Amino acid sequence: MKTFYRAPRVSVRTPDAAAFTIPIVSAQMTGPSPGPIRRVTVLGIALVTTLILGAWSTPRTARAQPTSRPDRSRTVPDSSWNREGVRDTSRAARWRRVRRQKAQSMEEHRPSFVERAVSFVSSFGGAVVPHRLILDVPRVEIADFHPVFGGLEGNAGTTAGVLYAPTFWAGEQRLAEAELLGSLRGYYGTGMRFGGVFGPYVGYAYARYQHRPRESFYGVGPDSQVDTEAGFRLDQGVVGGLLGWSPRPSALLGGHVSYQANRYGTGQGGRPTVADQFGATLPGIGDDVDYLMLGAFFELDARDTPYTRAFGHRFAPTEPRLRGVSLDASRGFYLASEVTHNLSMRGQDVDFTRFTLDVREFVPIGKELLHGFSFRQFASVTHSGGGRVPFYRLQSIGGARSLRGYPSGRFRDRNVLLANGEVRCQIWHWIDMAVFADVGHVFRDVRDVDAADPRVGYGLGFRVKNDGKTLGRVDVARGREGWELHLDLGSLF
Amino acid sequence: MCAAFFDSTRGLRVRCAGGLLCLLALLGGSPSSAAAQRFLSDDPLWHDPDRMDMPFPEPTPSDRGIGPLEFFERSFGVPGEYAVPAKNVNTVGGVPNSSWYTNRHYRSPMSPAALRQGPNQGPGPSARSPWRVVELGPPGGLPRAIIRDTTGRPFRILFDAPAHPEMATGAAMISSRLLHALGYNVPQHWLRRVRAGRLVPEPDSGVTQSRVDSLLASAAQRPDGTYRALVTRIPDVERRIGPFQFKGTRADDGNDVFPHEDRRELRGLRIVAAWIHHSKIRPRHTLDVGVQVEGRRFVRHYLTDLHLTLGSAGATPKSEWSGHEHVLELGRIFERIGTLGLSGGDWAEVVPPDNAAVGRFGIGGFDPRAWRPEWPNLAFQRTTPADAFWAAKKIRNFSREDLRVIVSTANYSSAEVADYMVRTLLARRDAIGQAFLNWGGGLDRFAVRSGRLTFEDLRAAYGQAPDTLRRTVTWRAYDNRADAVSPVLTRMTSSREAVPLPDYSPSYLRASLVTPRAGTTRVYVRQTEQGQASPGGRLRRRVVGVERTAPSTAERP
Repeated sequence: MKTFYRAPRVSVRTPDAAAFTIPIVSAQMTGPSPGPIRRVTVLGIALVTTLILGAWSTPRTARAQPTSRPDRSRTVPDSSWNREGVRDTSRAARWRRVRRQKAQSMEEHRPSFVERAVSFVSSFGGAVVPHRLILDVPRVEIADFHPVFGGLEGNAGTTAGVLYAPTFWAGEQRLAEAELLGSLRGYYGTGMRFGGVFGPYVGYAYARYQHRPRESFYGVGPDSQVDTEAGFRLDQGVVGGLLGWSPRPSALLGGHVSYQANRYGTGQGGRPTVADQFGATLPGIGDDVDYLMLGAFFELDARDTPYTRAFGHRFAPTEPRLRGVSLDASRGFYLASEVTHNLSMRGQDVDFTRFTLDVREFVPIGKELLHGFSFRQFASVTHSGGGRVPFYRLQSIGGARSLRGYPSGRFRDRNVLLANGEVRCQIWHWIDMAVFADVGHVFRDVRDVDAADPRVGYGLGFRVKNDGKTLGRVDVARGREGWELHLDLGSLF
Repeated sequence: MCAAFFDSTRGLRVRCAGGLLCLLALLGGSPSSAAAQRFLSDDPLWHDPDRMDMPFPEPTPSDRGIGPLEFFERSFGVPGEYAVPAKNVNTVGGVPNSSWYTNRHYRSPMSPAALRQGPNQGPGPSARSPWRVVELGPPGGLPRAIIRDTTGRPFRILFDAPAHPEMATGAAMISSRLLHALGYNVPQHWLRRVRAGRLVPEPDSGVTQSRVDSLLASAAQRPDGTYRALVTRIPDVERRIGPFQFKGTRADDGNDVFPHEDRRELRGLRIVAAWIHHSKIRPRHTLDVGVQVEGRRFVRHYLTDLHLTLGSAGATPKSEWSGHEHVLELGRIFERIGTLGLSGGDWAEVVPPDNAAVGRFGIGGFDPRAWRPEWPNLAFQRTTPADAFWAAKKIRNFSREDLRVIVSTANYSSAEVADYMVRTLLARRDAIGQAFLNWGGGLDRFAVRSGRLTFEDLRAAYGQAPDTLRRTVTWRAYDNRADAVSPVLTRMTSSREAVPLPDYSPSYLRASLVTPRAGTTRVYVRQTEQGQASPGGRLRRRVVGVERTAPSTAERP
């Protein structure tokens, strides 16, 4: 009767030799015992194979020695030979022999370049505050200085710089930082914030300067054309202070006083100037405009996320318009309103008062990983009496933070209506996906509102999240004028 | 003499003799055919000689994990049906005691006191004088530090997060006892109540009292003003080497010869990790240490960071997806993109327990076959049914009382929490038993007593199968040198857990126990002549081999 059984073998690979096999069972019987010719053939093949492998693996050069030699005076005696001098073929003895063979050819482990690179990169820490990414790089960090990304407005593009945050003032309820930023498009700026939260009160001082040489202007009104793009330079500085009071944890009201200096100039990039494109009489061209800004604000936050006040500085004029707080809400609502009076300090007739209202709703679905719907409505109305508003201080929509199917600042006018809607779902542990639609309109007067011709954009976006916060997003959107791709830090709303 | 083999002018006889002598020389000169035997004199081996005196390996970074290439390979590769058996097992499918593993509760039932004591062989930190803080842990995560007690011994202490008191420390106490009883090496774990003034900075360590106070300010505080501290220590450490990997071997450790992905205790750890929800297991939560015992230096391999087990992810509960998915599974991502999240995430609807001390740990949504760690590793992906059976039988062996004793070491302030933990561990234990104890028919603990082959039907013992199930038992003689079997000696059917040995005296007998719809277990019995005065009769019989197969691959018995 034929029986066939192949038992498992222990295969061992030593560092310098080809794998060899310790047969636990090596017999393979397929019938009657093999004859002498077959047995010799088998042995001969085994012998030749062993000799070839042995010659192949013999190193031609000296092998690196182990970094330390075992203390032979303490070595366990070779127990593979018993007292009668017969070789011990027990299993334990076999396993000991394998270990001794490995010990004779061991080499020190040296991490590869990839291992060292991964170890270095994984030591990075980081934090994302609205629209900026601050890194903690252990081996680069010197005296409280940190690399930072983001933080410049307009058409700055990719921005990077250094941020100084002194640890003596560090804490969850305190803020003290200064930064220096720049971008490859020639933008640069500096900023400072200092303040804290003291019980129900929040207060801080701020200052900022930005050099923005490649800003775009397409004209005023909803019917501006993309092919009439003009370029300009704006140097803007702001300094001021803000105070707020929380009558209850979810509410905040307060005010700020700021001084803003605006310097207009010719832009870079070879585009027509604003004066050439739209006339030299456009408000804001040629004059330096300084404002004393007096503002008041109110906020009510009933979302289901931990409320991070972020020192209230999102109401300060140092923060980008239509700014958001990057918290992942799935339920509740948020409401913010503010009024700011801009008083010209150079006697020009450019005073104006602006009212804004920002409302957001979050409607949960909660089916598997479909979070729900998120909506935002934003309205801004500017009242200037008979005065004029510099074109660069007009409200605008277009770009990553408003109307995503259009480039940044595409439509400008005194007044803005904007609505955003998203369906959000989780696709990965740290990435959400959103299908969105944006609708926006700019107008000079309420009578000019044309509900039949808003600007619409729609698209698909992905958000990188961690610990309840959106760190960054990629949005691909389409509008009437084509496709737009937006990369931004933080969420839109 | 070897050259003679290649000289074609010599006769065949000379070539035969030369080749034979060469081969015999390579085999060590023994004229015996020991190399051809399946069972050797010391089978089944229960002590792996892997604690030979070897130089300590060089330390490796503690954050060394799997490389990016291996991560993508593990995430995108399809392991498929991996049928290669584990390489470090003995002939009865067990894992010999080694620097990795020690057979404990399943082989030799531990008393309640021993279960409660767990790995704590030796005194804990001194209870009287202040502890000197030598080093503070990194910011973020749980507050932790390294201290020295009055005897100068170093300990690591860890506190709970204020939002989740008792969660991390309780998990560590329970899991350390469970893993120790299962056989794994774990640090010693104690729970201590610490007052603020107990921790003082070590002189010249760079630690200041204000930093110590900041550490305690970020820890959960009990109503009486004290702090609950988890104190851990690994004894006899002469060198902290670094984490071990779940694949390959350590190149500079002479004792490490079995690829880690083929070690049964590491493959079976996947089932254990599923039981205690150790979904965060990865190399950085392991530790190799160099120890010296009886003059021999070798590496001992530990599982650490046990505060990341059960419902705890450290300062926060585990994520919803933990245990259900790897960190990256592209198929599920595309499924969710296509369905807007309506498919590919059924774990999101599992309601977690509403208790800060429990975290996210329950029986809802638990499937032991589908459970996986957050970070894939090769050893877990190579777990075979035999490896799973090995681990499952040890897990299922824990009784309700055993688990109650072990959970009591967590010293939860709420009896409800302790009761919940026991019930959850029991439920997960039962689910693991249902999933993996079928292998080969679910039979174990083979022994020869009074001329009978005795065993335990694990499935019947745990109520998973009727105890009246009849199985077919076939006896044959076995030729250990030729690995061949004789024609059938006897055949019977029986539902009992003891069958008589046939009255034949070959050196080896093989019994095939076929359990309907469950598989086949083959048991090898060695028979040796004893002295006539021996009370056991003239033959000394011993079980030397066990192998199990599934029903679809079973050969004819």
